[in-house]
Amino acid sequence: MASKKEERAFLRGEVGVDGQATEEVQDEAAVEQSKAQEALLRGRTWLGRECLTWLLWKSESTEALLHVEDKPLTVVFHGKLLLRAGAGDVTEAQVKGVTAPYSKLVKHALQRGLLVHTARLQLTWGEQVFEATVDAEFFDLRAVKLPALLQEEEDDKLTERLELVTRASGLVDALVAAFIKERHGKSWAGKTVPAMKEWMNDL
Amino acid sequence: MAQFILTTANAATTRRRMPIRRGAVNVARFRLEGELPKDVKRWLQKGLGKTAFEPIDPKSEDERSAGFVELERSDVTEFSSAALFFSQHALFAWRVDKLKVPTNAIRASMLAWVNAFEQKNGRQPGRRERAEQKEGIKKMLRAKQDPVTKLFEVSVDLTSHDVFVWATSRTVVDEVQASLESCLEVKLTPRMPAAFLPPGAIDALSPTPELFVENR
Repeated sequence: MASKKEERAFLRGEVGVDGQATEEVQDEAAVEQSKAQEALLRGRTWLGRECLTWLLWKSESTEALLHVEDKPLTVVFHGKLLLRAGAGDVTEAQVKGVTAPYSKLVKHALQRGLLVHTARLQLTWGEQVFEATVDAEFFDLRAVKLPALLQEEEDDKLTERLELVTRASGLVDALVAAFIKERHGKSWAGKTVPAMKEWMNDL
Repeated sequence: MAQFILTTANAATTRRRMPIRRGAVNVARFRLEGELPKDVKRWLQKGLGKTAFEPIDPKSEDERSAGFVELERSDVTEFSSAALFFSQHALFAWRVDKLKVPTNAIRASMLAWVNAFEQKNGRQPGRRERAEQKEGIKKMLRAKQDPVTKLFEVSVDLTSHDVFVWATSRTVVDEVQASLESCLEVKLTPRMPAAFLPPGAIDALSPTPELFVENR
């Protein structure tokens, strides 16, 4: 005779007539792998991770990556860097430190299939310096640090602030557009990826 | 751009802390696809009016209400030119009100009532009496309670067609995007890498195996 508790579980479809669970309890590791895979594919996050990783590689030279309205744009990764993978033993790793993004530890992680998911970027455009945290899934701008405002009147300040945020967004767009041009071009598989792999292996 | 009027709003009228004016900048970025209508003013006023904020009726069962309001006056949904346009931008806010009676307040009132009922009638209240009383207490507390209001700014650059939602919550960002697309009858494209590809090209791309596969 089944107890009331067992009967209720049966009515809810949680157990079968033999009293055993109808669904297998998923392995914790399998659940984590499936979540990591889903996060990689959701909203084509993989393309964002490739973009940020490409940017990290390009930025190490500290030279201007491109020119926006005839002014050079340089990018430096600094502070926290979050790396994520879609599979493997380690699905997430975070490093912190002023030069941590360019450390051997990060290169080692990249080599093992983790890619940049969230990064703090410093963008220097001409004489203006912006800072922002960008993530591979949405490319929203978080905790943006704008150049000091020059205007004093409240309304002028607002106009300047809006212009600077638009500028910061435009600079990120320019970097993404440069990545997409390379990613969509013929040299990606033949030249860029081997060069990136060589850089990752240079420990 | 002649129809855009510069606002005369000053700091004194700004009672709340507005991220659009000062403080940390956190924006979700979109681009308005296609051409803007010729009469931008009418288009925005009419569109935002469709999804204008409506306060929660305390007599109703609604626990949440959301909609667009003016930037400087969060209880106004007129969207006059002076309130809406600032230089080359249209500025407004997404207001979310929540009115929920805390469970512990209902429980405390119920406990007091049960004790009083027992003393008066010499017995515990029945299930139906409890349910009726609970409903009454909920209504009474709801009428006394003010909703919790949150405001999230939205800026539309009418020249570059950039739309910024000044919020960190993804739920809010998604809600504002869906509301703007619906009320303005436009498509907002998030500024993520896939949006920079030519139409249809994304389907032909797949993750670069050399980057994602572990290289021992």
